[in-house]
Amino acid sequence: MIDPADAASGAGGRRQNRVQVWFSARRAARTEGWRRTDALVRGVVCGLGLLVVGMVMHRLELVLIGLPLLIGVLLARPPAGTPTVVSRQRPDTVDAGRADAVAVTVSPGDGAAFMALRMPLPDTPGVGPVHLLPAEAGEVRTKVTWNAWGHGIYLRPDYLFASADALYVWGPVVGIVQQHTVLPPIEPLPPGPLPPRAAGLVGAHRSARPGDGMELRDIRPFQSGDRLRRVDWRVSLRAAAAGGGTLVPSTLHVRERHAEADADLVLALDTRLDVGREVMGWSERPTGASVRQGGSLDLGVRAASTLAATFLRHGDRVGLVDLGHPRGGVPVGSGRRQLERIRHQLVHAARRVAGSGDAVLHTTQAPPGATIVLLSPFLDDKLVEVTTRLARRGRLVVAVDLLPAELAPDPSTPWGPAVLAILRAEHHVRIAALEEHGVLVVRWDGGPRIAAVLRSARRRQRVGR
Amino acid sequence: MRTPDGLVVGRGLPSILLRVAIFVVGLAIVLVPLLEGTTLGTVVVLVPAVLASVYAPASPAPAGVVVVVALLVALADGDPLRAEVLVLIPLVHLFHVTCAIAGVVPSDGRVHVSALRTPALRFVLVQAVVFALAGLAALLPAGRVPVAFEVVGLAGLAGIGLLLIWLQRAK
Repeated sequence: MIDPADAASGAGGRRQNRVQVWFSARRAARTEGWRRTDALVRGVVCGLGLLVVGMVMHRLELVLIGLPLLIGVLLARPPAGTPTVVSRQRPDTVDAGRADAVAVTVSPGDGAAFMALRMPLPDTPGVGPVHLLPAEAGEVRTKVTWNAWGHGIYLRPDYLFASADALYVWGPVVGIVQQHTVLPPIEPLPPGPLPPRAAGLVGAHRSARPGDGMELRDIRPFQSGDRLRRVDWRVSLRAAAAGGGTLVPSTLHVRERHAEADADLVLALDTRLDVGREVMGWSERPTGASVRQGGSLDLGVRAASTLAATFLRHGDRVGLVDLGHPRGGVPVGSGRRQLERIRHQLVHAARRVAGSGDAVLHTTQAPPGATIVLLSPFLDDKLVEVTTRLARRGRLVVAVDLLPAELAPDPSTPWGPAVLAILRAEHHVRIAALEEHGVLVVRWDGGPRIAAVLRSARRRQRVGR
Repeated sequence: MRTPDGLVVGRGLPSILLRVAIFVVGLAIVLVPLLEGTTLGTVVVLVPAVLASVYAPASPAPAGVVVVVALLVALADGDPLRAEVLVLIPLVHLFHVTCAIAGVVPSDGRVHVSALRTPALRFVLVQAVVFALAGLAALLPAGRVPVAFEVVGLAGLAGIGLLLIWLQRAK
């Protein structure tokens, strides 16, 4: 038997539940799906209100002013459906300077008239501003050229859909972030011949040692152990004719050839510092990017990428040393995959600018006989010590000075010019110290100079031998 | 730009122009009661409401502009179909629509003209209907309105109100 009190409380509970459901539905309607806007409220309240007041007060002006608002609301069809924006997947890496289309597929639902969609601006990297576009089903795309290298977000299609006269809206919805890595650019550079290193006796460079290469080294009398196929019969017959016409073992001559060897290039990049032209900004992190555009690290990464590509293309072996992070390098290697490895590592290394710490370059990081190219703004003595130590050990070291040529003093302090003068003087002393120890110093201004420097370094090494 | 493959996003126009348009239309709305000699209400209420609408188009401020300007014009006695009123009809509607559109795009966004074609057509259509009704009203005889007409009119308004509620529920 049902207790009347329980029945009454049950009925009250059901009523309470219905009220709660109604309120939660109203709350959800304000935050989810298609929602009414201020414009709809304005159209209904002002339009209908002015009409009513105008009719009651017999004022035609009020009716005529309120009428367009009300007609606009009456003409608006309440939208339905679920609008979606789906972004097209793109490759994870892209070469700097390459242009491509960034696209999303839009499904606006039924009744949507506009969409506010965040898309990149043409030829401008980054997620871009919000565009007010007509809500049409299909693909929406922008052509973008990525000139700045680095890891970053290239698309975040935040969206909001609106019905006619923006009386109802769907969203805003935060889009799914799409990221990619723009690999540093490779600029054309004539390669300078590297000093050969007779490791495998095979490679693209002429070694100082005799071997089985193509280039003639000498013609000498036959010795025990020489192969018969190396005998130069023309010279041998001429020697025999000069000695009486009899071909005896002492008249035999052989052609001696140079060995061919690999050349190793180690690129040592200073990732501890990223300095630009403005001295004032040296202590600040760049906004919106991992490195300063046109700064020392940007220049260093571009130079390292270019050098690696040029020498790898000619069959040399190239490695990378991160002076700020000893474990962040790439061991020497050859081939196209090595270039990709180095370019990825350059992007990764540039994201970890410490701003301090000592440069680390162990002899184990560079194979014996390898040419070391040091890329740094040379703003500390420790790196100079490391470099000169390598040079004293007989390594061929080329220092690429990345300090911007035109530095601007800090305008916020009267000591700005004095600080800049001291910086310049110290930098000058460091460069002079490097040159005294036989380190070739060159500024990175496009590239051809470094080829000439490597050529002259090779000549100096030959003379030294 | 629409192509067979889809919509190509160009640079568009800065969306701050929508706010500029609100300001310009608001200024024109303010001028009408000023020219009619109503200065106090215009300066004290209408101008701040217009400026607030420029700053926050998706707010109650534009509603304030619509109501205040309508009341100011109604309170100034004169022909209900005088030039000032006829100018205000499209201006107030344009102000309402511009505020609605500006409310869905941030001020640092970009506006593409192709998105504004449909609202422009709707605006012209609505104005054509309103001016047709205004022309009809001009032809009607002036004088006392029969009670029956008043009742029918009010009932019609109630019907419109119910229709609006039904449309909203239909969502």
